[in-house]
Amino acid sequence: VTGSAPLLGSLAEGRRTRLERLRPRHLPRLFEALTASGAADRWPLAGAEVPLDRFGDHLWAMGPIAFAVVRRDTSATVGLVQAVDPDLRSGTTDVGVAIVPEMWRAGWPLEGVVLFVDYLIRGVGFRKLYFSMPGALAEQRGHLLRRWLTLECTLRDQVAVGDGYDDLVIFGLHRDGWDGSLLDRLDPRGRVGPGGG
Amino acid sequence: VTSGDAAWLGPSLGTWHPTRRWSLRGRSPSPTLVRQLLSERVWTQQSIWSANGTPCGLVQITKADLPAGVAELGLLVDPQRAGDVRAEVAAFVAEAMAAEPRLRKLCVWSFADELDVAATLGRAAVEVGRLTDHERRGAASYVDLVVHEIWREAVA
Repeated sequence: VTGSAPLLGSLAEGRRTRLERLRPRHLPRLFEALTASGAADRWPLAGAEVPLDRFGDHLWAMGPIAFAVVRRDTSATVGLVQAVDPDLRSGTTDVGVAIVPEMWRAGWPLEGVVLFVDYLIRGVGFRKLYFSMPGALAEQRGHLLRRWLTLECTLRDQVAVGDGYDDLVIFGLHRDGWDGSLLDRLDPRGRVGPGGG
Repeated sequence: VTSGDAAWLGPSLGTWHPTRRWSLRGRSPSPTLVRQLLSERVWTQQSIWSANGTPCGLVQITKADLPAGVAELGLLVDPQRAGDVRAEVAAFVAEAMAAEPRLRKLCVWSFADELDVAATLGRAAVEVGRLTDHERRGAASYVDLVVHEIWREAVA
């Protein structure tokens, strides 16, 4: 992780993205990402009708550990990462991730997620992180997810999707299994290089 | 469930066997906590009493997501009378599902060292996974959070 301005501005920088403390200027793009049709995760709106002018308060109420993922070259906001329901006593938290729709097919914005995971584990000291997602997405990205995460639970037909249902899949990431050098192996397109484990 | 139930629920916390919702998780069992657990996102609930007039359990359905047809089942059970509670819980679940056709499934989240799900819910509850080493118990020990599902078909 590069960059070391823990009080103001950017928190951490990768090759193409950086994490910025959440500011009002990030909100319109994040609102688009979270309300887009086909958004992967019900967090943080969970079906609630939240207008844009109350969106910031809604996000803050979900938890204080939240950052915008921002492009380094243009400073455009491309995503949001947040520690959801953090439990400091047990050292666990769910991780919420949202990416703006036009970047859903790009891999490199996920560098921001890697930066955030590293911050949660090595910066804050969380012991274990959870990632929940619809079964269809888990299947689509399964090869990559299983490389880094452990499948812990599948809630069958848990979420309504169109006229049917989809599974909710929960992956875990233990601190002991986190290899911070993953950051160094991300190539400029956000893919893991040959030494990716 | 009435406001009077808080009087026996408070002292039962920390000694009776709970699902995650009723697990103290390092907290003190304040009256505020009990009132919160009896009201927050509760869809329906019932206290369970033994034949001699003493309470022996509480069962709740919470966090109902009817478009998805799913909800959570919450329990607080006197371990000395788990057998008495089991039939009442089964009847409660069957009635709730009969009353709400959209409800397809209940999820049960419990810590591995706090609730014997098989003894309390029988074979209708099927384990679908566990979040390993999830909850802190001692200086360096952790316990799994176990997830069970109860499907409508298994209750009918």
